[in-house]
Amino acid sequence: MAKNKNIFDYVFFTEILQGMGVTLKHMFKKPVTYKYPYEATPIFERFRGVHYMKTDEDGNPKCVGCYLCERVCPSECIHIETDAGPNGERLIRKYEIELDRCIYCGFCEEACPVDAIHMGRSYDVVRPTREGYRVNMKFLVDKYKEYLKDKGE
Amino acid sequence: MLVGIILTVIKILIVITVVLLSVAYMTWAERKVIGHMQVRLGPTHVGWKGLLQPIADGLKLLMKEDLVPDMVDKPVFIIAPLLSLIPALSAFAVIPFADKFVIFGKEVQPYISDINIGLLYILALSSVGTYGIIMSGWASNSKYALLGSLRSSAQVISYETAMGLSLVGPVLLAGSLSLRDITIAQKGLWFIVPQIVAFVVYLISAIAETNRAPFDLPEAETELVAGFHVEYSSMKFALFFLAEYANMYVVSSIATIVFLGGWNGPILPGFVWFVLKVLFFMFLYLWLRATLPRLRFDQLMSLGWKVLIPVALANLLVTSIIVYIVR
Repeated sequence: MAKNKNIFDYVFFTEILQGMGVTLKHMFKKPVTYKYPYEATPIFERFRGVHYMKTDEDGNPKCVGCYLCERVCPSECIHIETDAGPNGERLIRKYEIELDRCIYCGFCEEACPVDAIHMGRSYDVVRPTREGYRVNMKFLVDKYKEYLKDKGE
Repeated sequence: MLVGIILTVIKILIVITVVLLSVAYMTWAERKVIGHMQVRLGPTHVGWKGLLQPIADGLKLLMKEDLVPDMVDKPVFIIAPLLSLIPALSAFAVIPFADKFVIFGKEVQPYISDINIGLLYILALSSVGTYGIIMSGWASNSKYALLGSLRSSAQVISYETAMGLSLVGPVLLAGSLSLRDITIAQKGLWFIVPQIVAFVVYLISAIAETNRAPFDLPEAETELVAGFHVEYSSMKFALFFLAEYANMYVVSSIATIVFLGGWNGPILPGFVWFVLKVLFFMFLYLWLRATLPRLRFDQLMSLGWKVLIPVALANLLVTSIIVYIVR
């Protein structure tokens, strides 16, 4: 019960009628719903989704095994193992990301000195097992191919 | 005699079927209308524009396990939903949908019966419906259900008074309690014009009485889980749901008959006018629900006792004086 309402508003429910006018106006607006499984929701330019690994012209991953992303990762979900090659260069024996642990912060992308690991724009990784979330270099390179294809459109 | 009985039974079956279908599609309309008012789509998935949604909901409720909690008062628990629904459906027995007409040389009444105290009968039945709510809250053996049902009973008792008083004005003008006579009395002028105060009071108390829109205290899903039907599942829950919507239809029909002149209207046939007016009231329900926030309980009580009842009484006094002078 408002104290300072004037008598006209009180008797004729003007405020309620105003509110009803608003709802009636809204009824004829076009709904803003995305019908999700049938329509893709828009993904913004800077969205950080599942990672991808850039490759050079020969199709080899650009990663040089410097361990910086593993070091900077706050949830410690990147695991790298390297070996010495025949000519003294580093070979990457294992490069794994545990996507179920990853918090998608993008630090790995920022720390990478050779422009190799990147955050992609896909988000549809749901697996039935924890093991399924451990993705390796092959997966990341495939994601890069997908990314290029999407960009080409 | 026998032919009359058979015809009446057929009429009853038709009315019940139509009412139940209308109730089912009211749930769809509610979701759709409120959805669009909130700039959403509402149901779209089952059938064209979601039109099969009520049937799917009904099937789902039938399939669900009908569980009765361990410590409930079993007989009362089972009777409660029936006590909610039966009065709501019985009220349709006296509602005149259209005027008498002659077909194949036989006079047909498009309503089940026309008793001379129709309005009183409906008011009495709507009070009985409250028993269902109180019993369900009590039998559930749950604090929250009991609180919800007690709120509901307090609410219904308070607003029934205002509702009854607001209906006396039109009754005085019509000089009859029979719904058909009230409708016929409005051939020239609908009672909403001389009885606009009573109409507003009736509208508010009717919405409060059906426990909806800004007065849905017993259901208060935020603070009371779901009020009186929290322990109910499957078909028993569906019965409460049906009762609520059937009551909305009853209340809208009374508003149509008593204030908007029932089947009176130009050009179109009477039945169409009646349906249009009832549907307008049903839309008003949804509209208010999408607009107004819920009242606090003390606000609800003070509105009922300190505003509506005095206003209804004053309206009754003025109406009586005028009617007395004119006659």
